[in-house]
Amino acid sequence: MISEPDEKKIGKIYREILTEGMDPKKLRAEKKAFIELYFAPPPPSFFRPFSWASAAAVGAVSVLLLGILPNGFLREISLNQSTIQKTAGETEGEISDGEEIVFSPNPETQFRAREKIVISHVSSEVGPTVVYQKNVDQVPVAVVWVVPNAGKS
Amino acid sequence: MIDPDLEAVEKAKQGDKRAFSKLVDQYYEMVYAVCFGVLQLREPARDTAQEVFLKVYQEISHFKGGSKFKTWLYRIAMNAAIDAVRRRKRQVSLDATDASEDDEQAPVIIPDSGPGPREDAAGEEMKKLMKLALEQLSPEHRAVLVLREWEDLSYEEIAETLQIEIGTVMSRIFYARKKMGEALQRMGAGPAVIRRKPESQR
Repeated sequence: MISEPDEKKIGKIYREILTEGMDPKKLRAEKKAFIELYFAPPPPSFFRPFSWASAAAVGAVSVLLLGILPNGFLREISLNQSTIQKTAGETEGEISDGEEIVFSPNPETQFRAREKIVISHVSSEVGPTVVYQKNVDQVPVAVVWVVPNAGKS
Repeated sequence: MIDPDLEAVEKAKQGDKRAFSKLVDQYYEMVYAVCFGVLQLREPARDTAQEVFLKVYQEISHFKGGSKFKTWLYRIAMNAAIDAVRRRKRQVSLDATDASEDDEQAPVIIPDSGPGPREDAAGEEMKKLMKLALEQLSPEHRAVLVLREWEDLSYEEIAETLQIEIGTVMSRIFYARKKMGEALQRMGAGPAVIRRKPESQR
């Protein structure tokens, strides 16, 4: 049987051991990170009444400000806008008969560069859905075309 | 019996994360403490404590209010911590296949605490012995001890939390204290030469 003083001593040392295993500052930081990671409230939604109220308040204040702004101030702003100059130039002119129009990139070479498509098999099992498949040995890709209202006359 | 957490629990049942985060905020340290009391290791205790809260959040709709939320939380935490100890033991036993039998049984002399006041050194030595005594206890014994000595729960509360008989609670506490008392006696008997498991097996 353990004597009462020994029991108290055991309890005291036991609590000291547990205290050493707990760094309150670290625990708080871990707790905060854990809560933020898993249980943080969702970001404010556009559809929440609070957001609507905020937006309405901002709108109302804007309208009020525009209403009370002096006309002179508004005229000054519009005058400033007229002083904005064009920054990008435009070149205009006619194309002479003999001059060749050069497209860049060249559409002919572009289209030629594309691989020729060989349709090796065509099947249609579900009415409006038509399946075209290229030669599987060459390109193992199936192309599915869905034709709306196909098959309906 | 009025449960002070009932309102937050009801909100959490409706999926209110903010309400649940208040419960986490309130009980995080408690759950960590009981996990640490059973596991005796910081990081596994932290991981287990966090797993407990995630599990509780998922299962909170199953909480019917038959006991206080805190008691229910203790129970889940205890079971999770005991499971974690068993998982670790299994893992360690697999990892330890390379270790030789001789190494496991070799007596380890606990190093001297170094210079300093005699009482401090004796206190440190005592803690080391106590820690070793705790390691030798089963997780169930450590669970009862942490609830009694750290959480200050009565025998009845421990019995309710762990869903065991009060007699079992009393016998486990008695056994745990006895083991620790032996460490106290060993301390008074001279140099501490005891058999200790290698660090890797903890």
